[in-house]
Amino acid sequence: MSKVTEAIKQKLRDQTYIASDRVATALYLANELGKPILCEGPAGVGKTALSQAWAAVTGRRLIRLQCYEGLDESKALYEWEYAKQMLYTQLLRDQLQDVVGNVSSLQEAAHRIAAEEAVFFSKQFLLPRPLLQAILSPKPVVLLIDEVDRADVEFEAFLLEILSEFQVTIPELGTLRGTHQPVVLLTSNNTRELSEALKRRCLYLHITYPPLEQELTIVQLKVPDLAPTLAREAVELVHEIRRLDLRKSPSIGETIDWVRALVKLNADSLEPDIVDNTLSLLLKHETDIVKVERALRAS
Amino acid sequence: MERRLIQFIAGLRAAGVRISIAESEDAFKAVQRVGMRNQTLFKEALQLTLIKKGADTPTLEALFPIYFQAPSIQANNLIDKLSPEEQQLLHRTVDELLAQLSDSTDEVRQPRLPKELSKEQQIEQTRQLVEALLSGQSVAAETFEQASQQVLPNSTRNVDLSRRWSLEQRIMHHMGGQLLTKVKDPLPGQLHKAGLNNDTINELMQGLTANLELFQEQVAEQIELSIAQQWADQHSERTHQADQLMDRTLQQLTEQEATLLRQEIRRLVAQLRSKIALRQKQAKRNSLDIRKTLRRNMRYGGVPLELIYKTQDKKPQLLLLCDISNSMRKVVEFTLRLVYELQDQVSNVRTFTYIDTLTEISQTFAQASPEMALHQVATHLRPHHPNTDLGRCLADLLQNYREMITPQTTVIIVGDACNSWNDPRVNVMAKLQQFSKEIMWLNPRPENLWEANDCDMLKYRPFAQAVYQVGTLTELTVAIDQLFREN
Repeated sequence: MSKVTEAIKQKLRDQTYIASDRVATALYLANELGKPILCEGPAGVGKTALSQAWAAVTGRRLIRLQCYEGLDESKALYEWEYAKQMLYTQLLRDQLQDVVGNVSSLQEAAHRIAAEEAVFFSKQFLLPRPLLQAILSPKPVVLLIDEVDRADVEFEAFLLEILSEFQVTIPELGTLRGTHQPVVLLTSNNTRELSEALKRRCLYLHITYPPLEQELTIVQLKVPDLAPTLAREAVELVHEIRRLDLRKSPSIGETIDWVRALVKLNADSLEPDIVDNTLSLLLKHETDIVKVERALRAS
Repeated sequence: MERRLIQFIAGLRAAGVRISIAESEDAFKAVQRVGMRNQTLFKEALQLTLIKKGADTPTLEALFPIYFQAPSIQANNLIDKLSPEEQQLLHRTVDELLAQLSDSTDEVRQPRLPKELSKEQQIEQTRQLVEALLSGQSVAAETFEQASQQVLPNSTRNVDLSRRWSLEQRIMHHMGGQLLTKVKDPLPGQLHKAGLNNDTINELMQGLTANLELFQEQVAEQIELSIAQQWADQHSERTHQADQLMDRTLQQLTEQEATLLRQEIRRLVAQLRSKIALRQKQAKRNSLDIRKTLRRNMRYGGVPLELIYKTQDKKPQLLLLCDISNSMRKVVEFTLRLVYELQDQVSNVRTFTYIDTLTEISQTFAQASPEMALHQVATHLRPHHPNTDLGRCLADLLQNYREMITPQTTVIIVGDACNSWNDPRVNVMAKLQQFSKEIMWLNPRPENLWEANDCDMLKYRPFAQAVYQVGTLTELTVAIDQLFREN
C-alpha cells in the first residue's frame, strides 16, 4: 500500500509539487472510492496548485470553476445563448415566414412554430459552463471548484446535486450524462462554515503550513538556482515570522516569491537591509511589516 | 477488527464528533483499500473519511492510540530456548513451588475484591500466569474480561492516573499476580539446586522480568480501552441527562451537573444556531436592487426577466455587561458560553464584567474558554467581597468606552439589578439607551422579588426594551433567540 502512495508522491514531485502522506492517501482514495476532495486551509498553501499538479500527473485537462458570491446555475452549469438565438431569429425571418406562411389561425401559426422549437433550443445554442463541460467531456478531466466558501448556501445545495449524480437535466434537451466521472477537488479558505451535507460527501483534507524541512524542499524545487545556505536561512526566518501574531502569516507562495526576489538581487546571505527592502513580498499588511521589523531589530 | 473500528467510531461520537452512517461506511471502504499493515496510512485514511472539521482532529489524535495500539514488542517464548530436559526441570520446579504454596498455612491477603477467590483458585491463576509469562503469550481477551468485570467500577471517564494504577494492580492480583512473587523469587535458587547452570538461569529470569513488564503494559492498555468503551456506551444516557438539566435553575446546579451541561452545550445550541441561520435566509423581501437587477438582465437585452432584491446584513453587534458577584457566576458563565458558541452569527462582541468596577474581558474571552476568562477575572478581584454597584459601572462605561456604543449596538445586561443600596443612576441608564440600539436585560432573580430589598430592577425596567427572567438554560436559550429575531 505504501508503495502506491510513494509512487503518487514521486509523480507529484516530478511536477514540482511536494505532497505529504495525507495528500497522497487522499488522492488515492478519491480515485478508488470516487469521492470529491475538499481542501481547506489558509491562503497560499498549495490547494489550487495541487489540482494543477494532479491534472498534469494524470494527463487530464483541468477545468476550473471560480466561485464568488452570487454565482448561480447559469454561470456555473449552462446558459442559453440568448443573443445568438435572437440573431438567428432575425436572420431566418424569411424562412420563418415560409413555415408560418399560409395559415388560417393564430393557433395554427403557434403550433407550426412550436414544432420547430427544437431548432432554437438545440446544442448549438447551449453554452456549457465549467460544470457541464466537466460532465460532458469526452476525455476524463480534473474539475477544480475554487473557493467554494465564497459562494452562498443555495449554490452549495445545487452543487451537491451535481456531485452526487454527475448528470444534468436540461428541460429542453433531456438528461445529459457523461462517460467519464471527473476527479473533483474543492478548495475553501475557511471564511465560513460549509454545509454539513457537502462536507459529508467529500474527503476532508486540511492543508496547513508545512514543517521546516518540507518547506525547504519545496523552495529548493521551485527555485533551482538558490544556494542551500541561503535557502535554509530564508526558510528559517519565515518560520520565525509565522510564530509571531500577525494579521496574515506568510504563506508558501509568498516564501517562494521572496526567495526568487533574493536570487534576483544576488543576495548571498540575509543582510538586514535586503530583508527590510523585500519584506513587502512576504507581508501584505503595514501593521505586520512594522511588527516584524521591530522583532528583527530586537533579535 | 471491524468491531474495533466500530467501537472507535462510537468513541469519537461520544467525544462530540458528529459522524454519519454514510461516513462510517466510507471509512470501512477506505480501510479495505488501504489495509491496516501500515499504521500511518491507516490513520490517514480514517482522518480523511471521518473528520470533517479541523477542530475535531485533536480528538482523533487522542483516541486513536487507545483503540489501535500497535504491538511494539512481542513477548519472548522462553521455554523454546531450553532443551527438553531443562524444560522438564523448569516445569517440575514450578510445580513444586506451587505445591508448597498450597500447603503453606499463610493467610493470603486479598485486596478489597468484590468476589474473593479461594486459595486454590488463586494458585491456579498463578500457575496460568506463570505459563503465560514463560511461553510469551499475550493477555487473552477473555481472561482480561473476567478479571476486569470483577474489578472495574462503573466509573466515569476521568479516572486519574493514581486510580488507574490501583486498578492495574487489582487486575494483576486477580489474574494471579499476587502469588507470582512467591513463585518468582525462590525460582532461581530452586533451579540452581535442581542442576540448571547459572547462565541459563540468569537468561531465564531476565526474560521472565521483561515479559512481566510487557504483560503489565498490556493490562494498562486494556484498561484504557475499557474505560473509553464505557464512556462511549454511556453517551446516550448522558445526553438524556443533559436534556433534563436544561430546565433546572442554573444557580442550583451541582458541580457535576454543571460540568455535564458544559460538555453538552454545543449540541444543545446546535438547534438554536440553525434556527437563527435559517431565519436570516428567509428574511422578508426588501426593496429592489436596481443596479444588480440591470446587470443580471443585460443578457436579456435589458428586459428585467430576473429580479434581484437587496439583502441586509442582519448580524447584531453586542455589548455584554455581566455581573460576576457570586450568585450570578453560573448564569453569566452559561450566557457567555452561548454567545461564544454563536460567534459566527454576530458581527462583533465586546464583553465587560462588573461588580463595583468595570473590567473588559473581550480579549481573554476571545482566546480562552468562557470559564477560564471568568476565572481569570475573579482572581484579579480585590480580596474583600465587594458590593455590586451597577450605577457606578455604567457611568464608567459611558465615560471610558463611549465609542463602543453605537446605534447598531445591542447592550445586554446580565445581572440581578441588586445594587446594595447604592445609587442606581437611572439617568446614566437613560443615556445608555439613547446611544445604543436597544438594551436587553437578562435577570435570574424571580420576578416577584424585583422590588424587594436592594433590587432596582423596576427602576431600570423602563429603559430596557427586552427584559427576560432567565433561571434555566432553556429560558436563556429563548432569550438569546429573541436577540436574533426579525425587526
